Amino acid sequence: MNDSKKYRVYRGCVTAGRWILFAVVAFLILFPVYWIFISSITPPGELFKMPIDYLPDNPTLDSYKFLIENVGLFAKIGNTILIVGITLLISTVICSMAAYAFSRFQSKGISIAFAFIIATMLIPEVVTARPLYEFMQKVGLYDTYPGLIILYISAVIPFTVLILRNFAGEIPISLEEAASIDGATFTQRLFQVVLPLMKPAIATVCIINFITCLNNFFTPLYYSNGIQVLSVAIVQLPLRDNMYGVPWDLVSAMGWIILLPIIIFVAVFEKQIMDGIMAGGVKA
Amino acid sequence: MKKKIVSVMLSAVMAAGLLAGCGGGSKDNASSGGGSAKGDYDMTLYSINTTDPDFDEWLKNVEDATGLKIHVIAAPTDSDTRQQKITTVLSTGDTSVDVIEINDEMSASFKNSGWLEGLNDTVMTEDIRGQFPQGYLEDMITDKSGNIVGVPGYSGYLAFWVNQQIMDEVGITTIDTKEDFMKYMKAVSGNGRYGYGGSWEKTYSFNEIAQFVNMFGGDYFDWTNPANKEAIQFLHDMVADGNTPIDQIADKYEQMNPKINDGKYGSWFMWGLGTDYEKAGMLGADKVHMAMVPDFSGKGERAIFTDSWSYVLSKSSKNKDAALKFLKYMADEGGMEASYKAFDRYPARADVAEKIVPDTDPAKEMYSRYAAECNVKGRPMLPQTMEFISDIGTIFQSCMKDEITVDEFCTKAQEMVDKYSK
Repeated sequence: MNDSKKYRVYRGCVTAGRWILFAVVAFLILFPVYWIFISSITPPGELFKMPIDYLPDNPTLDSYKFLIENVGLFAKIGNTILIVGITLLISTVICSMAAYAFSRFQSKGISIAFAFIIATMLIPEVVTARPLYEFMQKVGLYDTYPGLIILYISAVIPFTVLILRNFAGEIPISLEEAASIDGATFTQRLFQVVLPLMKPAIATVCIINFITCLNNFFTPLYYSNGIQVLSVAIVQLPLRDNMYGVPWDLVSAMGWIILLPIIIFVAVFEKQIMDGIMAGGVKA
Repeated sequence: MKKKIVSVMLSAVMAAGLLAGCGGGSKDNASSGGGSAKGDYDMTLYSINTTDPDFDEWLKNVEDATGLKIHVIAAPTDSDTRQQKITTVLSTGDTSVDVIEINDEMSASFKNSGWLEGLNDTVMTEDIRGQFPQGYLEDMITDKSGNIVGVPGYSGYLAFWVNQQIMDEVGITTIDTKEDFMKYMKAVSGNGRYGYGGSWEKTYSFNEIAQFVNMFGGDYFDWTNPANKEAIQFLHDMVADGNTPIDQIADKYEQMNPKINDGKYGSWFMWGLGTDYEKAGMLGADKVHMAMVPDFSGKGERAIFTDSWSYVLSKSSKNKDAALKFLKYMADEGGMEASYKAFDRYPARADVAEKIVPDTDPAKEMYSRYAAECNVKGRPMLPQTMEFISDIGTIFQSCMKDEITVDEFCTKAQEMVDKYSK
């Protein structure tokens, strides 16, 4: 066998290996998603049939119909969009400017402030839950949109500031100096030079924060009663006949409803996510 | 200097951004997804039934009958989440909730906490009290000072179920004693079919362990009692003899019921009125039906557990008059009838059940017999309910898999009782 043939065989083996690895990883990730979907369209009586049916005999959309008719699905979607939308808007504005400040200005106080913000990522939610619950009630923010939005924002700030600060630090200061020489004011440098260059990172954190907020279960569950969002809805499905049975068909349907926007979002913004992750040095 | 000004401006924008969030919503239109709109209301109910298709009809009935405007909050139906949330609501003195629906596990945790209002003189007065299952009232919703802290919303039994087709096939007409039960096990088991089936997932197994301990005349809180050991040995031998499958240690009710519908089990214990069997066309006197609990004691004593969800009044409530009016209605015939019609919840009061449940309801005869002929009790629970249940379930599974002996199980179970009783 000559060298070029050996090389072709080697390349073929590498390619085949890659595809096999890809197929295994894809299967591991996609099979649970497939199973959630199949469970959501399977009548409850057939869910635990043995041997397992990988395609339901009598597919039905009854679970989705039930969620729309009885669980206030559209109201929950509306609440979710409102809270997540405002959270993303405010947190992005605040964090972009904070990240710029943290990357460009140096002082002991700023370093401490930055360390303080990052350190809050290390505090488990349950540790602060009880005092925060009482605080939210005392200040009248419990079970209100502003209260939830503030909590959502505070949850995404540390991660967002960290990523954007790292990214802003990579933008050469010489660009700002050149703009300065051309007569740009500080505000012009910030809004017309730096922030446009931060777009990929901002897009990335927006997408990641969108997913984080959509998946946030603890905050809306703990700090609200009346305002219900999609993530909590999954634990508010009706108990079955004996009050101990889990309605897995409804849980699967609700899971799929929560999953779908994330899949669409990631599929649409995949390039920006990857660009941002590479550029910002996010270890995904 | 310029940088300082910009820093100040950036800080101001941050603050403004946060404050802008504060203007973004209103509490008045906050309720969604299963509750009535928040506004002027007399009391707030924290309910697990809000996603039931007939909930609105039930609420209208209650509001019309009581004249109250009730604000409803949907409680999580997932047990762990719900328990955490309600614990927080009650322990923080949250005044936004007046009446809460709690299950037995929560009742065991909360009844002696001082967070719930006693109802002896207001709702659960002597004339009414006598109509509820006494064992349940004493075991589950009476605090250490003798105050009844809840109104049972329905009555459920951990009923004994049999498959009549299998009984006919093996020629056994009745399972009345331990000997009958064993005879049935032997006749039915084999070829992938078992005389007895259960849900032995580590938390679900609690019901059956307690039921068998009860049937053998044991005491769930005293594992030095020989009857307890006899019960566990009995369950262990059923596995060893192939009368019940070991793989049911992975089963909850969702996995168990399809096996029942497929005719894999000859008998079992189960809560509820058999809706899953009805949907599968398996409910009926000639198919799957409830039966009288066998007498394992040999003394004519039949043990059965009852469960319920109870309405409790938070001590922090600021709408106690309205809440008491609501509770009185729920303890009364009208409230029980509304729940029966809307949610298929069997009335907790014997007199009401007799009056409003039609004779055509297949559960009526057996529920009446359970109430009259059995020693009805609430399940044995400790304040740290879920931890206790889960730990006992774990060692039970080990015992059934022969990883530990029955003696070791009893020793460990007693240690857990001591640990979680403190």
